[in-house]
Amino acid sequence: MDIFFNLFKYRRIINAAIAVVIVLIIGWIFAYEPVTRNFIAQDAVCNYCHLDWEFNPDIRLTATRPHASEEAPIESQPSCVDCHLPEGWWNTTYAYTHFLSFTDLFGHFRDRDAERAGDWIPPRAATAYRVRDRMFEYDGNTCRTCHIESEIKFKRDRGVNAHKLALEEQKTCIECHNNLVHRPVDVRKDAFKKTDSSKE
Amino acid sequence: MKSDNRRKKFAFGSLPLIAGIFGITVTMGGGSALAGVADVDWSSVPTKTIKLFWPGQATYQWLRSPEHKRANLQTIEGQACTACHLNEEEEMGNKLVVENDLEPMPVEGKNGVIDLKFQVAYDSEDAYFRFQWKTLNDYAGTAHPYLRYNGEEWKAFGYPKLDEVVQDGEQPGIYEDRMSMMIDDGSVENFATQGCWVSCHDGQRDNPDRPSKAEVMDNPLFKALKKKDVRKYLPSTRTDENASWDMGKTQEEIAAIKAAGGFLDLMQWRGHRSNPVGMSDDFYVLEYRNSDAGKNPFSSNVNKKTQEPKYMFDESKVGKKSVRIEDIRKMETTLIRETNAVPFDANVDWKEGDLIPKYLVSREDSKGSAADNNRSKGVWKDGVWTVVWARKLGLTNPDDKALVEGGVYTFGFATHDDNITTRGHHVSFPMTIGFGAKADIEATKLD
Ligand code: HEC
Ligand code: HEC
Ligand code: HEC
Ligand code: HEC
Ligand code: HEC
Repeated sequence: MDIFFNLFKYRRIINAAIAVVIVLIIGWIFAYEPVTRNFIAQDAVCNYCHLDWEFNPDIRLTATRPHASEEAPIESQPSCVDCHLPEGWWNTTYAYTHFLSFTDLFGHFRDRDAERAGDWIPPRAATAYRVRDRMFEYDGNTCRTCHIESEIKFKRDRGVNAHKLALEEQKTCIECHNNLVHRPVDVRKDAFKKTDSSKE
Repeated sequence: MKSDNRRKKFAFGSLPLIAGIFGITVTMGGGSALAGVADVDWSSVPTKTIKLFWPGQATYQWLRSPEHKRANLQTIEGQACTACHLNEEEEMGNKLVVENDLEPMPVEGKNGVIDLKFQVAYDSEDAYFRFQWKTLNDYAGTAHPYLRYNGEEWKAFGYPKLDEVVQDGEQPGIYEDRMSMMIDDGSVENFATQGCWVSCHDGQRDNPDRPSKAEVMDNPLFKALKKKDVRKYLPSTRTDENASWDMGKTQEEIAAIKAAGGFLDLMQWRGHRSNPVGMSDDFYVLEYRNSDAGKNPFSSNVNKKTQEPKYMFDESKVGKKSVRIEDIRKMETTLIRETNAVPFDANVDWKEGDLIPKYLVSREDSKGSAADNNRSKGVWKDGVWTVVWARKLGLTNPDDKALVEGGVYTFGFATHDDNITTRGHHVSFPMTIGFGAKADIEATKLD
């Protein structure tokens, strides 16, 4: 009885607390993605496991070149998640599952057996292949958060021509823009083959 | 001014030569050497301007390597060059002609692009082509390497401008002007989309990764061919994916490809070695750049044993037995077996600096499929070559791509300008020509 009485007595406080929790939850729901992308899944966090000098354009001995342009200040460069973590609330979770080494950043569980199977290829190459496969599978969705295909301004005719071709033949970014920023890895021969028969 | 000058030089002893050439051009081939083609009213045939550009060392292998950024995969898949490079000839030529990754041997003063004015017509018998282009030099490229007497012996004199001896200033740049066509009827993979680039490979003369003469002669394919260098070939004649020069298929396999029509026709009009006898040569590209069966209009004038010329000029026709550096490009210095040549005489009192052409040219001796292009003639005037050229329709030789009414063919064009050979040409992207059929360029039907 006392309990009920006490609850009743403190109902204002409890209501306030519930409200706070709801606000916090809602806030967290809204903040989850931006906070994750900007504060938690920072480049520095990625580079806790991935070698700095292999993937950060501003580190000495780096193998990665800056994206936007060589002259652009380093702060205006895309971060790792810009290119590697697809947008969306649920997708954000994959940052955490990736930190736990359960999944890649597209939410696919690591297939450790497959990672070890087959002929030996340099691990870096194997990883690059997988990333390309995903970017191909997801139609360059990470690139498209910044680049709107129809609004790209081209320096030369070949860009205009190639993008017309890309639209006609439904090719996606990674099919042409591979070896974009990191140390070059040869493209494997049968990369980018659509599994369905829609492409001849 | 200039033409005055030229006339004087002609008068100086080459009139008989001119007369000789003229004589031959009007008497050979059962009538005029230009039968048909001379009568075409070119003003009724539309002119297409084709941009020819300097290709540098953009070989088949380079185009498929990651260095061809953002394009290597597409190229491997057979994508057309113009899918990306449409209207970029000017930009590419000017970029590639100066020193860059694809041009380790830039030629001083070279232009990146040449505008080729092109016309094509046909009637029931022949296809007719007309080419006009401006040369870089203010002379016609009618000179070609010579043998030069140095007071003791005859030594090769004059080399193409991509050669180190010319770039180092040891030898003058001397090489004939040329206009070439490469033709396919759809049987060579990727030619329709990638044109001449299917035939240009690492290992070829003036391209990257050249093997030594010994390496070439040691290779089974080249041994069988009895060749000492690598020239144009098609990927279908190689066993590996990268179409390497040294991975040739067997002679039987190659013969089967040829029988199925899997080769390219390649013919060249030549300012020194074919034009003076009203001809163009006739080759085909398969495992090598082979001559068609029979005999082309030119052959070596070097006596392999003595290293002396085989023939010299006929003094009664030319006014002298040899020419001098001052004569070349002012008069035609082609040695023509049937009109102005006599067997070489070592006992003549040769003077240092006497020049005798390294090649002997003959219309009479040319024969077979290699002599198909026996009606072409180029005239150089005011800095512009105008070449007209007839080719029989419906040729049946196994080393020709027969042109027929109703047919559509893919053509690639190239000109060698300013004393140069091998890859030192300005080239076109591939385009289709239709003879009474829809195509990029439709030949005008004459009646
Ligand atoms: C706790 C360590 C760790 C952290 C932190 C981490 N990764 Fe990874 N990452 C891995 C491991 C382990 C792999 C799988 C091994 C491999 O293929 O190299 C991997 C693989 C990848 C791959 C290749 C995907 C694939 O299919 O193999 C990408 C891309 C990647 N990480 C990006 C990132 C980014 C971006 C961040 C920061 C948001 C990040 N990683 C943070 C450990 C980590
Ligand atoms: C954070 C935003 C952002 C993301 C994500 C992004 N880019 Fe970019 N990218 C830029 C900016 C900014 C430029 C420079 C602007 C310009 O020059 O048009 C640029 C330039 C480029 C260029 C031209 C310069 C070069 O490096 O060749 C290409 C190609 C390109 N991006 C492709 C991609 C591809 C493919 C992806 C996906 C893997 C991608 N971008 C992801 C912002 C982004
Ligand atoms: C068919 C091949 C192809 C595909 C597919 C393709 N691109 Fe490109 N892209 C090119 C080429 C070629 C250029 C011109 C590069 C140059 O001028 O060197 C280019 C240029 C660009 C540029 C730079 C503009 C400039 O002129 O500097 C950006 C940004 C770009 N692409 C982004 C993308 C994005 C994002 C996608 C996917 C939505 C994409 N591309 C898909 C071939 C392609
Ligand atoms: C501009 C887009 C972009 C940015 C920014 C970027 N990457 Fe990548 N990354 C790619 C692409 C595209 C690939 C696929 C491989 C290729 O073709 O280059 C890739 C591949 C990878 C791989 C696979 C292994 C490899 O070497 O290819 C890893 C791991 C990786 N990135 C990690 C990172 C990390 C960590 C960062 C941040 C420090 C980062 N990336 C920033 C575009 C980007
Ligand atoms: C998918 C588009 C695409 C296709 C198809 C393509 N290219 Fe390219 N090409 C490019 C791009 C982009 C570059 C610049 C690469 C770089 O940034 O170094 C280039 C560079 C070149 C260059 C170096 C000179 C220059 O202007 O940059 C040559 C030569 C060249 N291409 C020739 C060809 C030929 C020949 C073909 C056909 C066999 C072809 N390309 C097909 C896009 C393409």
